[in-house]
Amino acid sequence: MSGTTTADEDKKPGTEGGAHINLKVKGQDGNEVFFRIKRNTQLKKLMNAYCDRQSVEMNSIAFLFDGRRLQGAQTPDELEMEDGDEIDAMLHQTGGGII
Amino acid sequence: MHDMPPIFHDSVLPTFVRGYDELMLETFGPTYERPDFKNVLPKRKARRIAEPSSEPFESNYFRDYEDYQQQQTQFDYAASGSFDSEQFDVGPSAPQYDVGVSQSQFEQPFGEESYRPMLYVDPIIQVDQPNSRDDPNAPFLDLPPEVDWLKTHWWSGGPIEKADLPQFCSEASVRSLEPGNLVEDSIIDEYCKLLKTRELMLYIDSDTVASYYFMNPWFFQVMATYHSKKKNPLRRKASEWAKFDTNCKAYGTLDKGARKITDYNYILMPVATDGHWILFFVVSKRLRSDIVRFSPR
Repeated sequence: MSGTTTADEDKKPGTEGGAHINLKVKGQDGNEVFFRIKRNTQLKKLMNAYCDRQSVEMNSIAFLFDGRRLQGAQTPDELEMEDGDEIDAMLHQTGGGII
Repeated sequence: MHDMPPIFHDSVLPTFVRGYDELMLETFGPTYERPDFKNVLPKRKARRIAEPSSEPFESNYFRDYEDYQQQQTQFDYAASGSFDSEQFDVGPSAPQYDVGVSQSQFEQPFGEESYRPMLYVDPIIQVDQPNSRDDPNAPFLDLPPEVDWLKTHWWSGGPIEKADLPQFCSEASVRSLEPGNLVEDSIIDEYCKLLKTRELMLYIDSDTVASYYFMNPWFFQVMATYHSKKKNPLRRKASEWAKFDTNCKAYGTLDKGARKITDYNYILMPVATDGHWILFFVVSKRLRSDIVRFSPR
C-alpha cells in the first residue's frame, strides 16, 4: 500500500489518468491538433500522426518545443513535457539564390 | 503623369550635382574623387530624345557644363532683348544612355565582356528537367558556368551517405546545399550549432565566456504564429500573451544552464524572408559606445 502512495506522490501535476499526456501541435496557420500519448512513447509516433493528418511529408516539417527542434526518438519524459504543452509545427524555410 | 521638361536635366540637375561636388570637395579636400554619374539614370520618360551627333560615353558632362557657365558669364544681358521666342538656350544636353539590351548581348548572352546575370536559369530547361531534390539521381540542371565551377571544385556529386548527415538533417536538407538549390533552415540551424560549439571550445579554459547567442532560424516563424493580423493586439486574451511570453523566454534560454540571453553581447538571428537568408545581428546595449565609435559618418 505504501508503495502505491509513493507512486502517486511521484506523479507530476496534470498527469492524472496514468502515464498519458495531452499534447497540442500548433501549425503555422494557427490550427491546433490534440494528441494523447504515453510519456515514454517516442515522439516519432506523434509526428507521423500529425503529418498523415495534414497530408504532408515528414521531412517538410520541423517540430519545435520550447524553441528546440524535436527529434523522433525523444520522449515526453526526456523533454520534461507537461500536460497541455504545445509543440510548434513549422514548414521548412528555404533561402538563398541560385548561383 | 507629365513628362519631365528637358530643362530639368540641363539646368536643374547640374545645380544639385555641382552643389554636392563643392560640398564634398570642401569636406574631403583633394582626396575626394568625383563619382561616376553614368549610373544615375533619369527615368526613360524623362529622358530627352538622343541627338544623332551625341556621343554619350565619350562626353565630359562636367566640362561641358563649366564651358556653358563661362559662356553665360560673358553673355551681355543688356544688349539682349526680352524673350520673344519659344526657343531657350538651356546649355549642353545631358548625356544619354541606353539601358536596354544591346544586339551583341542578344547574340552572346554569356560572352566574356558582356553582363552575366547571376540568377539566370533558362525557364525551358527548368520545366523539362525533373527537380534534383525529388529524385536523388537526377542530373544537375543546365545552369550557368559558375555552377560547373562549383561542381568541379567543391561538390563531388557523389551519393550522400546516411552516416554523413548531421543529427537533424534529412537527406533532402543536405541536398539543399547542392548548387542550384535553396538552403534549408536545418542547415542554417546546424551551422549555428557548430558556431556555438566553437564559441564554447574557444572560451572553455578562459575566464571570458562565450558572448554570442545563436537563435535558431525558427524564432521569427514561431513568433509570427502568435501575431494575428485580424485581431487588435490589445484585445488578445491573457492566455495568448502568456504563450507568447513563454515562447520568448524559451528562445532566450536555449542553452540550458547557461546565462540569460540578456547577458550576451551579441545575438545572431538568421531569418528567411522573400527567398533569402538574412542574419540579424543584435548588439547589446552595453556595447553602444563601440557602435558609435565604429559607425560611419
